[in-house]
Amino acid sequence: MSRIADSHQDVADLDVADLESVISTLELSRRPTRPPDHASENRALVALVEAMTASPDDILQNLVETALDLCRAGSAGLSLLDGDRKRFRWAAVAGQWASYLGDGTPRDFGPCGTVLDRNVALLFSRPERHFKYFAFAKPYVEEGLLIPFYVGGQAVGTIWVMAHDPSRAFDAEDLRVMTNLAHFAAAAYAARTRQVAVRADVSSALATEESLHGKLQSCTEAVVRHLDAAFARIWVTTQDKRVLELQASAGMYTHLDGAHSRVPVGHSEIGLIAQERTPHVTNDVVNDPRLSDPDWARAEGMVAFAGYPLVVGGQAVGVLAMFSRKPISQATTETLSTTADTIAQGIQRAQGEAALRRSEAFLTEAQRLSSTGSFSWRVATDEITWSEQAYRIFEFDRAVPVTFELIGSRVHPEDVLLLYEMIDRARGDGSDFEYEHRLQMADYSVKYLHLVAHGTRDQDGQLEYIGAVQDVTERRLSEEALGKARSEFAHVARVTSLGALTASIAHEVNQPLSGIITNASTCLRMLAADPPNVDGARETARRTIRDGNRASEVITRLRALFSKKDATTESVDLNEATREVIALSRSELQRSRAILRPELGDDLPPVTGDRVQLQQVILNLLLNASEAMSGVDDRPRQLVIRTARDEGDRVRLSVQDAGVGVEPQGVDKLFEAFYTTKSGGMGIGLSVSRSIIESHHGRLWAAPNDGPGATFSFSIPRRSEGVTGAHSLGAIGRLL
Amino acid sequence: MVIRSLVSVVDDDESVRESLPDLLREFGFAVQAFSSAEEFLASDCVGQTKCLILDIAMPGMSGPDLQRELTRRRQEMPIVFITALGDETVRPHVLEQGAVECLFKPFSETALLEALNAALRVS
Repeated sequence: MSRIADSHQDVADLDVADLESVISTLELSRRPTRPPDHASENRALVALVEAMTASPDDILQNLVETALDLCRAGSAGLSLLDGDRKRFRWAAVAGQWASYLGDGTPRDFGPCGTVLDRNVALLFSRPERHFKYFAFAKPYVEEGLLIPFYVGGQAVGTIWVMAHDPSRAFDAEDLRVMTNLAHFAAAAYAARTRQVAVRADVSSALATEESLHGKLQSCTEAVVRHLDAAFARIWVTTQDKRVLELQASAGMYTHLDGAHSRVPVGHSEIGLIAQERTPHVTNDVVNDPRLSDPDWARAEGMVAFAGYPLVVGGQAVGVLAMFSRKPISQATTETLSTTADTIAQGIQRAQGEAALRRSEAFLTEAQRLSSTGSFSWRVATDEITWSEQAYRIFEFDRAVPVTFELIGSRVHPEDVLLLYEMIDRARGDGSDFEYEHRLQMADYSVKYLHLVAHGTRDQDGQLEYIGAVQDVTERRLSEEALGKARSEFAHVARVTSLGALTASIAHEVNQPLSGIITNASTCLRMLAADPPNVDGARETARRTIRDGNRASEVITRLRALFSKKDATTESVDLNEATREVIALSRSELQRSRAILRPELGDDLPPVTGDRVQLQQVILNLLLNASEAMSGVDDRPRQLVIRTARDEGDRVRLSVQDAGVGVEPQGVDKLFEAFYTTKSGGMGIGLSVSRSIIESHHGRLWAAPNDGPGATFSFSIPRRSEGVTGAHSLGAIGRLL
Repeated sequence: MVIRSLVSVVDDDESVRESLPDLLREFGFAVQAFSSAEEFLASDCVGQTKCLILDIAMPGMSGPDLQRELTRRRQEMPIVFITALGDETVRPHVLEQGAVECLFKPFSETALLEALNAALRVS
C-alpha cells in the first residue's frame, strides 16, 4: 500500500482526527457476542492443518482465508514486519482487498504499528479519520480488528479482518477466534520461516562451500539452527557403498571421530536407514528399540530422533539424522525430507565434480609426463583447440587463439610443405592420419613431433579431428644417432665383407684366368715354332677350356654366397609385403624427408615367390629412390609406390621418385654389378635385385619420368613353377 | 746341347702347374713343378734351381715361409712370387725380404719374361 500510505502527504489539508478517537476496542466487550460456532471453527482449523501439510507455501494465504470465513469479514490479511522493521508488508490478503497483496503500511504510522506499540489487539473504526491514506483504499474500511502475533517471543506482525460496511460489527467472539488464529499463524509462520530458512541455508551451503565436507558441515549447522536440533549429523557412503563415514556434525557434538565415525550399512540405526532407504522418525526416542544407547538419551533428555536416507537414483549415498529435546513436528519432518533430497543431490554432484577434476588432473599430468598434447580441429571453421600440454610443446601462451598461421610459424621451414599437404588431404578425406614433422622454436632449436588424428563426424555431418601430438625429440635424436651408427657399421661391414668378397672373387677367379692366359701364350708360341707344335697347342687349348669352365663354376659358387639362404616358394601378397617394408623403412624415409604415397591396388592377386627376397628388392628400390632425392629442395620429395595388375597375368610394382632422374641411354648401366653413382656406394643393390626378379621369371627396369625423377618397376608373373635356383648367372656373369 | 737353366714352380693350383711349365719351356727353360713348398724342399732340385717361381698362399708352408727357410738353409735363389691375392701390402713386403718380383695373376708373358730376366741377372 505504498500507493495508499505514501499519499498521506496530499491529504494534509483534511482534518486529522486524534488516534484515540479511531480506536474502539472497548466496543468489542460491549457488543452482544454471537454464539461460538465450534463446529465450524474446528472444521476450519482441520482444513487449515491439512492445507498446511499439503502446500506449506500457501499457509499464510490459507490462514487469512480461514479468518475471512470464520469472522464473516469483508477482507482479511496478514501483515509481516520487514527485515529492517520500517514497514509492514501484507504477505497474505483475502476478500475485497485481495488486490492489495504486497502493499503495506509504515511501521511508525498505521494500525499495525499501533498494535505492535501497545502489544494488544485493537479494533479500529473508520481509521481513515486518523490515518488519512486509508481514504484512498477501496472499498472503504468501516471497521478493522487487528491481532498481533509473535514468533519466538518477538512480535513479527498482525493478523486482521475488515468490515467494509456498517452492517458488520465485530464482536468478542471474533476477537477470540482471531486470537486463536493468531497463535496458529505464529506457529505456521515460524514453521514456514524455518523451512524457508533451512532450504535457503542448505542451497547456499551446497553452492558456495568448496569442499564436500564444508558443504555438509554448513547443512548440519542449518538444521541445528532452524529446526531446533540438539545435534545433527550427515554420513556419506564409501565408494563400495558398504560403510557410512561421518562427514559433518553440528550442535552439541562436532567431533567426527568417535564411536559413530564409521557405521557399516545395515548395522545400527544409521546403517539400517541407509540399507532400507526408509526414514525413521520418533518422538519417544528413549523407548525406541533401534536406539543403541537409551541411557545416554535419557541422561541428555533427548525426546525425538529423525533419520533420513540421502538417496539419488535409487542408491543411498548417505544419511541425515538429528536428535532433539523437543518433539519433532510434522512440518519439521517435511522440511527434513526435502532437505535430505537436496543434500543427496548435492553430494552426488560434488562427488561427480571431484571425479571429473581428478580425471582431468590425471589426464593433464599424464599429458605432461608423456609430453603429449591433445587437440581438436573443426574442419569447416578451422577452429582449433589445444590442451595445456600442446601449448607447452609449441611454446605459446595459453591465452593465444590457435590458428594454422600460428602453427605454421612454428613448423620447421623444410617441413612446411609436408604439413600443408597433410592438412589439405585431411580436409577432404576424413580418414585418420599419422605424421611426423619438426618444429623450429624461437631460439632455432628443433623439436620432433609425432602426430595422430582421428576423424569423426558430428550429428550435422561436420568433420572434426581429435588427435594427440607428442614431442618425440629425444627419441628421434637417439634413433638418428643409432641409425647413423647402424649405417656406418653397415657400411664398414659391407666394405669389409666386400673387401673379403673381392679378395675371394679375385683369388677364386684369378687362378683359372691366369691359367687361361698362360695357356694362350703358350699356345701362340707353340704354333709359331718351326715346325708348329700342334699337339702342344691342342693341349693348351684343352686346358683353356677346362679353366674357363672352372671359372664358371666359381661364379656359380659365388652367386650362392650372395643369397644367405635358399629361395623358398610361397604365396605372397605384394601389398602386405610392401606395407611391411614401408613400416620398416618409415624412419629412414622420414629422415630423408621423403613424402611417401602408397597407391596399392586393391584386388591385387597374390604372386608365387620368395617373400623375403621380394621385400629385399622393394627395400632396395625404396632406399634408392629416397637417396636419389637427397639433394632436392625446390619440390616436394614425393615418393610414390604403386602396385597393380599387369597384362599377361602378372603383377607390377613401381617406385617413382622426384629425384635427379636417369639418362634413358644409361639405364642399363645401372643394373651392372658394381656400377654406382653414389659416392661410397657399392652398387650391389640393383644388380642383385634384378637377378632376384629374374629368378622369379620377372623383369626389373627403370625409366625416366615425364617430370623430374625416375621410376623403377618390376613385373612378375602370378604363378611360376618355383623360383629358379642359383644357376642363372644374371648380372654377375657380366663380371667376366 | 744347350744347358737349360732350371726354373722350379711351386704352386698348389693345378692349372698353374699345368700351364706355366709349358710356357717356360717355350721360353727355353727346363722346368720342374711342385705342388707344395715341402715337396720342393724334399726334392733334389733345390740346389740346381736358377729361379724359383713361388705362389704366396699355400696350405702348409706358405711362399714367404719357404723364402725364410731357404735363407735359413743358405740355399738362397732368386724368387719371383706369383699370387692371386689382390692385397697391395704383399708386394712391398716380399720385395723387402729379397724377392726379385711379385706378379699378380693373371700376368702377361711379357711381365713374366721381364721378371725371369731380372732374376737371372741377379744370379
